[in-house]
Amino acid sequence: MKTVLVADDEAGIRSLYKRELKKEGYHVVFASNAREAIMKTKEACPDLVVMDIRMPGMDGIDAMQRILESNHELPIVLNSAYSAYRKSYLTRPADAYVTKSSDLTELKETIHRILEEKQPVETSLED
Amino acid sequence: MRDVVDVDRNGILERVCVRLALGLVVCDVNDRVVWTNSRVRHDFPDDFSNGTVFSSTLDRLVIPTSTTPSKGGPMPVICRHGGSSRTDSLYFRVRSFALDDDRRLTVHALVEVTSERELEDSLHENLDQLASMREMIDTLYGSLGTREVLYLILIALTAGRGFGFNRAFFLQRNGDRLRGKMGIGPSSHEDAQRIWRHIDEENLSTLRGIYQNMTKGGETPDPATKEIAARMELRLDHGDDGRLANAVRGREPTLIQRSHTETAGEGFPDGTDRTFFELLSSDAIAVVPLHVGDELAGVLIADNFITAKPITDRNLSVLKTFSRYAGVALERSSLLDELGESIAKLQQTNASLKRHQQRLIHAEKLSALGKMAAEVTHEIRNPLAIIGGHARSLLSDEGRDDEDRESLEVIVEEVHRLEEYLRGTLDFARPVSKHSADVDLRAVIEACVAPLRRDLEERSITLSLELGVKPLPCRIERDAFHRALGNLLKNSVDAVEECGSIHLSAVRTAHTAQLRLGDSGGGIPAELHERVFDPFFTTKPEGTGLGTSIAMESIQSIGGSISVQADERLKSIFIIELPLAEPGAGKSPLTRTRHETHDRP
Repeated sequence: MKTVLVADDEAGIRSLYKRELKKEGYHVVFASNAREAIMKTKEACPDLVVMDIRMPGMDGIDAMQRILESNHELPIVLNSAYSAYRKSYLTRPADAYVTKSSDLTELKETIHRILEEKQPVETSLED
Repeated sequence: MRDVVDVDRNGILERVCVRLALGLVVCDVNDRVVWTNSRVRHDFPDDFSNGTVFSSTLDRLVIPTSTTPSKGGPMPVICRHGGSSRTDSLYFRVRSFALDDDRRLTVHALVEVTSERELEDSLHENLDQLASMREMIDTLYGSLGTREVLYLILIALTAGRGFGFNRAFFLQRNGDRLRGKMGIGPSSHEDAQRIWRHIDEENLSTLRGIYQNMTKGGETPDPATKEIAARMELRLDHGDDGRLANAVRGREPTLIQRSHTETAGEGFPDGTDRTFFELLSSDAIAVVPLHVGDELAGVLIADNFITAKPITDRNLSVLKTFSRYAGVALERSSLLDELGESIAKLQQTNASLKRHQQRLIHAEKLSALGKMAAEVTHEIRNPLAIIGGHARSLLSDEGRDDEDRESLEVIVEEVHRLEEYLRGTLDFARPVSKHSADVDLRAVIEACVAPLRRDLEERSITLSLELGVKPLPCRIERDAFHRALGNLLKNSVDAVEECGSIHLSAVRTAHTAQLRLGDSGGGIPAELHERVFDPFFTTKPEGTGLGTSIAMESIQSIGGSISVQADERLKSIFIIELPLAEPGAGKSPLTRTRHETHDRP
């Protein structure tokens, strides 16, 4: 079972993603701010991170950079209510950018696609 | 007759007359001339022959004066006209007395007064000139532009009321050179008759009147004379030592005449003088340097090439006074010219600064708008995602009864509508995709309009779409266009409120696809057209003032343009110009679209 780390300061989002991603068959862990997210990537060893951008204290873009410094293979999906960052150079290191929406289809498909793409690489390494 | 012969039997009277330079006419009781002395016979060979009636001859020769001669009044003055030249005329005052008590003989003594007469004439002339000088000075000081002042100076030199020269020229100084700039006056005898008659006919009494008449309709007065002026050139540096150049270097008006030897083409020490005289076909010219302060600003040249009237010392002395005032007037006008130029430059700079400032303000407002829109979107989108997301989540669970499902569906639908609204209107801070696609604009418009249909129906608003029957291939970015048209349509719906119409047409022009959008909502007043696209500018009580600026930003970002124009029927309409698809860019340009995900990081 793949582990997805959801970093978001909105409790409503965390509870929604918990419900929906569980249905997709993922193990979901949470962080409510950027620092906690960095810590959790080490503790919980997630297969993918869904990262909000605007959070109190450090923002999601900084957190993403810090995470990639120590684990540059970890897929990160930025997930923000800001659409402006979609094509910004700041978010370029992310694997995907999904604007927040009540319809989670795009987010789910993106997570699924990335984890699928990652699969053969892991397989080949295991081999 | 016998008596007279008796009187001058010894020639005594004749000798006395010669001594006194007197003319003497003796008449009988019938006023008939019976004797004249040699002077009279010499100067009036045909007028006072023996037997002629003296008073008739006197009447013929007398000079009219302002006061009618009467008994005891001024003595009459007669004139013996010279040939063509006035200077050959002689003037005599006539004094009459009876030779004897019974008046059988009357003696008329003719005392020559030519020199007094000339003095008097010149006095009158000077008085006239002084009077008109006052007018010239008043007129010059009331004039503003340098060109006008220069023309008035030339007119003063040539007007009968002024100096009465036939022609006058102005040469402007530029460093060491003087170049002819203006000239007025006739170019020939015929021209002279025509011009002078015209001035008489038009009854042009003031200098300004003559100026206005000369320059009406923007004409250059006396083009032939101006042409002569254009060919005049003088050098002030040591290279030119002619009399003309020397006269210009001095401060005083000078008369330059060419002597008979010069007329014969000899004796010119210098080429410039000859060139000038030949150019002017004139034998005498007045040269009047014009100074502004201590600096030579130019020179006036005047002559009488048609009437050949001599230029007198007295003319020159009045010209000297005139040139001082003319210099001051010229200085004043050139200062005014400079001031005018400076003001014009300042106004230009000011206008350009203002435009620049407005652009900056507009850019700043757009930037502020972008930030604000992003914040608003963020703050609304988050809770919407949570509400709608949970509703969707619940809806997907098994075992809900129909009532619950219906409620959840309403939530999901309304949230979706709000999210779409955000995406279509406020979401403009999103960087625009560079991947424009070739699309059939008609289809994109239909897609934009579709979500509005229900709202329009509810409000009884008719939407008239005129999109033509042929495909309208455009190269645009769908989302940006959608956002622009969505905002404008929303404004139209707000303006109409209920029971009205919205008109949207799209046509192909030479280089663009053109959309015209108007509504029956009353339009935008013309005075607000400029401000319509300003961020935060709104005429609606509850408007944000963002719709049109977002539309503009979006249209510009896809290489189009948008403007608002007055319209006869709908008062005002928006006009959007969009780039056409490049022909032959693809096999099937209207269906080839690239999905946004291609651009994802």
